[in-house]
Amino acid sequence: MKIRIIICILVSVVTSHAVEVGARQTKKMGITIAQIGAESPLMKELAHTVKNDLAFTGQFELQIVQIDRIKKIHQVQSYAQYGPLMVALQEKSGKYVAEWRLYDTRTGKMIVGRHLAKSGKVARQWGHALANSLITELTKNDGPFCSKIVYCKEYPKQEKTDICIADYDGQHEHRIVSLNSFAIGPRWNADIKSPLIMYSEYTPLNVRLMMTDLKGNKSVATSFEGLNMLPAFSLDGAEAIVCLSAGGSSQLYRYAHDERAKKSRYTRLTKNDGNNLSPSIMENGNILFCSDFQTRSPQIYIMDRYGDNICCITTGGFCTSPSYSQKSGKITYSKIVEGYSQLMVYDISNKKTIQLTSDPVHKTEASWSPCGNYLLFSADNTKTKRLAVESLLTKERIYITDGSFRYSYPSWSPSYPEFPDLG
Amino acid sequence: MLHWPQPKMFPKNLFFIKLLILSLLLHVLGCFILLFVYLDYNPKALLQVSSAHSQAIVRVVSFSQKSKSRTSKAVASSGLNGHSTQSVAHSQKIVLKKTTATKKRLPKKKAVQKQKQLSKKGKNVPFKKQKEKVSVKSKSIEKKIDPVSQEEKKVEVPVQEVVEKTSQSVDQAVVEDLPLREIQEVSYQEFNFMQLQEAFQEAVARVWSPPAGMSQSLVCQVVLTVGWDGKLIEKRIEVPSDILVYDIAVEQALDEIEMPSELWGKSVRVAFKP
Repeated sequence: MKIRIIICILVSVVTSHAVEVGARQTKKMGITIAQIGAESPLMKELAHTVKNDLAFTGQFELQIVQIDRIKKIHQVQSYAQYGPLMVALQEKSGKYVAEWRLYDTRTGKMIVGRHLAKSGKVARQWGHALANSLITELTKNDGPFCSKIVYCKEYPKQEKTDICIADYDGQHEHRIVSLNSFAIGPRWNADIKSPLIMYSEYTPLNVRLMMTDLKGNKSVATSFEGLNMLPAFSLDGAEAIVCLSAGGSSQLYRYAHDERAKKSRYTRLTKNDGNNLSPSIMENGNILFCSDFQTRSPQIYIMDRYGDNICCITTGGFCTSPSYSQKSGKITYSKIVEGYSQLMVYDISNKKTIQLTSDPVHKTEASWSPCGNYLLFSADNTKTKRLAVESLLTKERIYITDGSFRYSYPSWSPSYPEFPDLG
Repeated sequence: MLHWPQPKMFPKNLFFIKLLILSLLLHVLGCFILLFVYLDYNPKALLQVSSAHSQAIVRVVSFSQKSKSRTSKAVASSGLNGHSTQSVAHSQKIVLKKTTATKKRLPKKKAVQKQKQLSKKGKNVPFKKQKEKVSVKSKSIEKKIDPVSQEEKKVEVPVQEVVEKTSQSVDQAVVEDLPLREIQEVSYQEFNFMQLQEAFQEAVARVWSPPAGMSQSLVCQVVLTVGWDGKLIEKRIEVPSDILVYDIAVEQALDEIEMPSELWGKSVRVAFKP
């Protein structure tokens, strides 16, 4: 009997584990900004603007270098000691300002490359636009770099107020209006092509609503009896809500312009005996506002576009100055917690509120950045009143003004594809 | 043509050869079953280890029961059935359940013989006293191990001691002694996996530092193959986060990482979280 037994079993078992690891610390990522070719004032300004903008996010550590030409991969790899990424900027002529390329310094390979279009007349704006496209490539977040801020600058011990605009980081301040009286609540209209600023000015008779362009050409928007203030615009600019107190307490009115009759029409939205202030228009037409009509202590409410279905989103306390971000779908407001006005963030999607700040400084009049990742507010520690930007990503705060003046009522503009002409 | 004479096989020899083959086949089959049952081949198992875990205290307690359902029954019988198993899962302290090894070391017969001997001598120890003794012993058995990644040998010694004196009442007493909220039951395989995870977490913590401000929901999943010399043979991003800086930070960490010896010669799937 033939016995044929062939046993050939080769088993190779590879254990496949799935391990989750979390970071215990964060680190700023190093990026090298390389100016390619001969050094020019334009390239220098571009490089420095990009450096400042990316450093503002608190996520990157940047340094600028000068390179004649990138010939070989090892040239890029030699900058790996400064960080894993390199942005190479090269000046271009014609309709493009420059060309930028993003390299991985570990491999020396190019990740992405773009041309920077020449939009507007201000070279700084090109740098901001470049930083905006870079941050989108790097983090998939939009940047606030192409936006502006407006605020009131009060002179100490003087009845004098300036309405000023500046870059998102408080740099390059430009005075729009100078008044020998008090002015409050400047707001941007939503028009990207022809930006206007509306603010309220104190007069002996009332507080009237004024309108000005960025060159300082101002005119009266509304001048009813009592308070005329804090206008809000829809994203498309078609609707506007304004606070008027002609009937006694401050009520919200919808503004519309009748082309046929060439008349302005105001429709009352709130019908209560409380004070209704700080409206914001949401993308679905609902209106966010602050009112004390129920509890005599200001609370935050949302109502529909016709003034019905009023819903309170806060649960007691002293809550003021709400602001809505269309990008993130979140609402911020100030609430007094243990004697200090703190910033709260309410998420509409899950109806949850978090307290963003807790330090002993009054934080008021918060305004969202167009990207929805930063909050601009006035920080008052009784001695100084400064403007600060708080990042919701890194939780870092940057004070963008000094303490020599009293800064208040900041408002963040939309992101401008072309820098507004300041005259 | 000359026919080559065939070797004559006695029927007795034939029987033994057949028996040998059958036994060999049965052994091979048995090996396969053991391989698939006891090998930690569970690629979907995900155990989250945060930095807090590394400082957690591990309490070692033996359980004579094998399965979790049995343990829960024991807990229920000891009058602690009010607690849900979910609350147990939330705890930070871990109780190691050693089952397979204990069964091998302590045959049931011995325990029965001992009990018989005691009953013959007329030394009927009251149940309460037994319980007290056991609880005292069990307290001495519990040893705090910090951190979790200590050698398994240290864990095994007290377990063996318990095994020699174990009975169902011992387990109940131990369960009663420990507050249930602090207990998390893990199997031997899970414990091994946690040790591996802890070792890897420690190694990664030194090098993994993503940029600030990354969304907490981001995950970059990487497959790593570690050689027997501890060097990374292969690193492949299986599921990228689609955030450039995040993926680059992961690659940067992998360039710098020193693989712990527990992972040598293994293939690991790692999910990098912010």
